[in-house]
Amino acid sequence: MHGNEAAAEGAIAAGCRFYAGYPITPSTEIAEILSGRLPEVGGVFIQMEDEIASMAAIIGASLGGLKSATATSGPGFSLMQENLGFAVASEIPCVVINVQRVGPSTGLPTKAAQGDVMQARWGTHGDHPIIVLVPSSVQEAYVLTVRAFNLAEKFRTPVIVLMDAIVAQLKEKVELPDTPQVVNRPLPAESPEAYKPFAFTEGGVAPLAPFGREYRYHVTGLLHDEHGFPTEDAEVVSRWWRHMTSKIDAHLDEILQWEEALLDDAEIALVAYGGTARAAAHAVTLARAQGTRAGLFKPLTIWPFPEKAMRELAGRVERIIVPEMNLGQIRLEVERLAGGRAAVEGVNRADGLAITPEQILAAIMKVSRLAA
Amino acid sequence: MKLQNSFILREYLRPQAFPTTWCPGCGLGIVMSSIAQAVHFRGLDKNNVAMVSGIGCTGRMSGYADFNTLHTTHGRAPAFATGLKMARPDMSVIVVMGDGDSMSIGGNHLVHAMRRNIGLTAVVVNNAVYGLTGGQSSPTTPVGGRTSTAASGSFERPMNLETLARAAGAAFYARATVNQTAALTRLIERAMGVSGFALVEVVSNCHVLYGRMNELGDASQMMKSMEEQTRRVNPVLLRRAAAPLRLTSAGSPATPVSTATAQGVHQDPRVPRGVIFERHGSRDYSSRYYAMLEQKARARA
Repeated sequence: MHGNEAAAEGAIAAGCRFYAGYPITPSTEIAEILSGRLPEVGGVFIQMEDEIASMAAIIGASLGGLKSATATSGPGFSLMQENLGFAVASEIPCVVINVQRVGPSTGLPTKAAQGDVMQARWGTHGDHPIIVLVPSSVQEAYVLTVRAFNLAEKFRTPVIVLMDAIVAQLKEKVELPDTPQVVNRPLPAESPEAYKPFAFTEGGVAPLAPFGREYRYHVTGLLHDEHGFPTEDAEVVSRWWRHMTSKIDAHLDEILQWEEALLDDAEIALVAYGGTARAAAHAVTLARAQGTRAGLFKPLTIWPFPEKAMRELAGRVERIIVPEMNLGQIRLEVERLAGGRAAVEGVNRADGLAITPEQILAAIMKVSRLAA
Repeated sequence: MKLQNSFILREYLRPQAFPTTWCPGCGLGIVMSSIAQAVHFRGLDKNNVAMVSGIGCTGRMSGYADFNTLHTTHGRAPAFATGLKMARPDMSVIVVMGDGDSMSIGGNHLVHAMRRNIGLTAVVVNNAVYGLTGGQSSPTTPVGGRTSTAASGSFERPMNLETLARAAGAAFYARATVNQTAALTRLIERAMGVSGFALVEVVSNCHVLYGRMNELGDASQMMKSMEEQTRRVNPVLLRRAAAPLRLTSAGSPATPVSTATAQGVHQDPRVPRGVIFERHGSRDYSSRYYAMLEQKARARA
């Protein structure tokens, strides 16, 4: 199957029973597949009037108690940012799959890119925590989509699956687990009177009661107290911030995932994610064949960024190369974390073509000569 | 006949969220009270009622009413409500919006909620101005109306929501004012019984901004003028108003509103209030969808 199909099947396996979306290349197959699959499992598929409405509808459905998702691509992702922020602020679990294409604007609609990495982190206005996962294979598209739903439920937050058109349109063999581990939404243990739908707990979240039970509460995009009522009290707002940041920061061990290959003795580390990580892995093999000790660090969770691991890596290797299909969005992050301990450079293109292993190899050879 | 307990407004409000942000004399309190009464007299369980609102003075209503409440982003309330209704088709979902919220920034969502004919009760509170941001022109500001963004009078043509609702395919459209509260309550109550998208436009007053800028007087004077500027549609005429909808095919837009409401009588410049049209045989999109699911399940079994 291809990456889009794997993401759609991952959603079904994770218990997604509501999808709202608007057609856009190169993510449309996800909608097409789910329009057939969801009715088979008693779920709801609805094609909305635009991406703003799609994002709104999945939040509404999530409050109704259904695990919900939408899928889109660059321009649609931009339109979703307003309501994505709403889901962050009101702590409504949902999953957004963004299949990246070349931007800005209409860009190159059918060509792959990784230009939305920073939009996925900071696209909606205001500071906010967010979780973003990046699959680099069809298998990972499935596994990480399931994981996205689990993290969304667990931390009551939108989770973004940031695919690129390489992975989305790639066909390869996958092994689907019979029953993937799935996190379901618990009901509140306390009485409706005692229920605080937005409880400020250090590093935790309150269970989200679905609408239609006896827990009648208020949900708003205004900053609010533990009961959901708007507040302008700076003390309450700062407690809200502590809650919002700690619920992610306290669980980095669980949220962060990355893979390392041949880094133990490496002098040169590649940091690559998504479709580009495949070319990077091959470039490592090619470099090793020529006697250059290269290795690969592949984040599967890109936001929050694996900061600690990256700092350690920068202390271990002499040089870091960050190949990505944009003009250097993650390179800047790596540079910041390396703090001058390892030299960082990028291999970049945003012309719709994939970065080849040879291109990365050339960069490895160039820096290895410099080191020699 | 179901026996009703007497209506106690307090039972439908959240005292902890008071006082409201609304100005004294604002029509929004009246609208909220009418919605609460409509829910009460329909005998609905508060737990099974949701109120979804957008942004603006009207948007704040969801914070004060004791239902499952969702205060969304500007204009997007119909889209949030669509998701909720599709997830919980058994739930009564009331969407409250202002004129700018529903017709300007949220125009597309409103149009498509009406086209889908999803089972929502939309209450559009129309005061012809943006209140919360300080009196700017709205899509229903009359030509010549002075606002803080049209100091010498608006020269844009206002939106005709009624015609839009007919064309888009809403199941029910009624107009009320905050000055005729009993009728307002009855119309919302009736809208809540409709299968499909039911819209109640409520003419309201912003005496603090629009009223002051146009020398329309205080709240009571503005309400008084609602009396003079509107007319209750004749019940016989009501049926006639509905007739063109029955004559055309289910999917096609109805005859223009001017001919529909004024058939057989003299033209009247006053704005009609009451039930303006009701599409017969309408069926809520969410119930149609779940019937389809059941059919599929049976076919597989």
